[in-house]
Amino acid sequence: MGAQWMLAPFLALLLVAANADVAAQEKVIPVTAERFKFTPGVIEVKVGVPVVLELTTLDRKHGFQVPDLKIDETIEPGRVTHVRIVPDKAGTYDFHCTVFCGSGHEEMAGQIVVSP
Amino acid sequence: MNEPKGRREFMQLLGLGGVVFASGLAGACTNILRKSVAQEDDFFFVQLSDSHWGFKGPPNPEAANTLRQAVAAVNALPSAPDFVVFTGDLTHTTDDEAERRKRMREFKAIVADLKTPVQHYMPGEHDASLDWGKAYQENFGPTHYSFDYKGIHFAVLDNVSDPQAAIGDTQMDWLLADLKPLRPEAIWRRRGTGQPGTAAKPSTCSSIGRTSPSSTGTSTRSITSGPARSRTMRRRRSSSRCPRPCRSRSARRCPGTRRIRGGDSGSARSP
Repeated sequence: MGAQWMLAPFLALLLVAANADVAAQEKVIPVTAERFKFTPGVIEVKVGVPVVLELTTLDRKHGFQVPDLKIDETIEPGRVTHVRIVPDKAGTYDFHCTVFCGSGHEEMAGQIVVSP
Repeated sequence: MNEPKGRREFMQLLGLGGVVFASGLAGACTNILRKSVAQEDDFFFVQLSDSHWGFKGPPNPEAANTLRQAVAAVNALPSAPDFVVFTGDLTHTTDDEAERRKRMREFKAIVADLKTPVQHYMPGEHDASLDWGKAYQENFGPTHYSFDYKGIHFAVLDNVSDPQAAIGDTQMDWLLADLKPLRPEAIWRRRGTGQPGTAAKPSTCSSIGRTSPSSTGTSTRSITSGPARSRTMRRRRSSSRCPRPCRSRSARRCPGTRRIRGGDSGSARSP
């Protein structure tokens, strides 16, 4: 076994530590989905400041799509879906549910507001 | 056969609170009202959509009447359409399975008054997305199928029984087999599950091509009716996910696409 194999666990530990460090620096914003709303309905972030959206559902499967940011995720019951965003331009970005969930599905929407 | 409908008759249907033009095969989407020379193989059909039977609410306080009004308007056309097609959201969605079936029975009872005997149906998400099309199939039959009329092949696809608007491999395989002997004619697109924040948009004709000699001279027009709700109640599918007419298997990324191809006449083909 070469020296590189002996170094592998150490390098892996360094990598995990680095990721943990990055994650610790990023703001996590919990977002819950339920028929027929997202909470919060308006997500405020700043240009250049990475955030992680922590998506969960309180009832059934929903979708989370932000067309202008090319985000298209599903939110499954019992699971947490993480979406990392690095806003590079100020503006307002609409998001909505993409899994038909009932009579209020069309109104299940919100906005990500990116301020300078 | 029938003289093309005049502008006045179609404008009368437009007065039913949401009736809009959808597409036409005679030339292009915008040419529906253009008077053309009638030919023997000309035909027209009426497309009714989004009746949302069972809806109650401020956006359309007349929701209990507009479907009947639409039926009466079609019956009153000076020339009977060759057939009527209902393109989804026949009923308004409900979590109550018994109520869902009741609304479908009521819908069928109302449209049974249509004088036009040939009717074709396709589901909308309000009809099918909460139970994967079970109640719809019990009442209206298959959710995807094809039929031929005067040299035009109509393929009906179901992108709503799956609440995520997927067509699925099984249906795509069926479609490919169904279209295999045919030649491209036209592509239609219908919005799928709602996209809040965007104004409602009726069925649109995204592309029309004419390569089949069998359909040359055919004049087909359609009408979309949205009597049960205002424009803000429904949104079109994100155009960013389907920016252009779909081709071949890539259509599975564009679940709102409908294809129409010219081909041999014949009977309806079910999956």
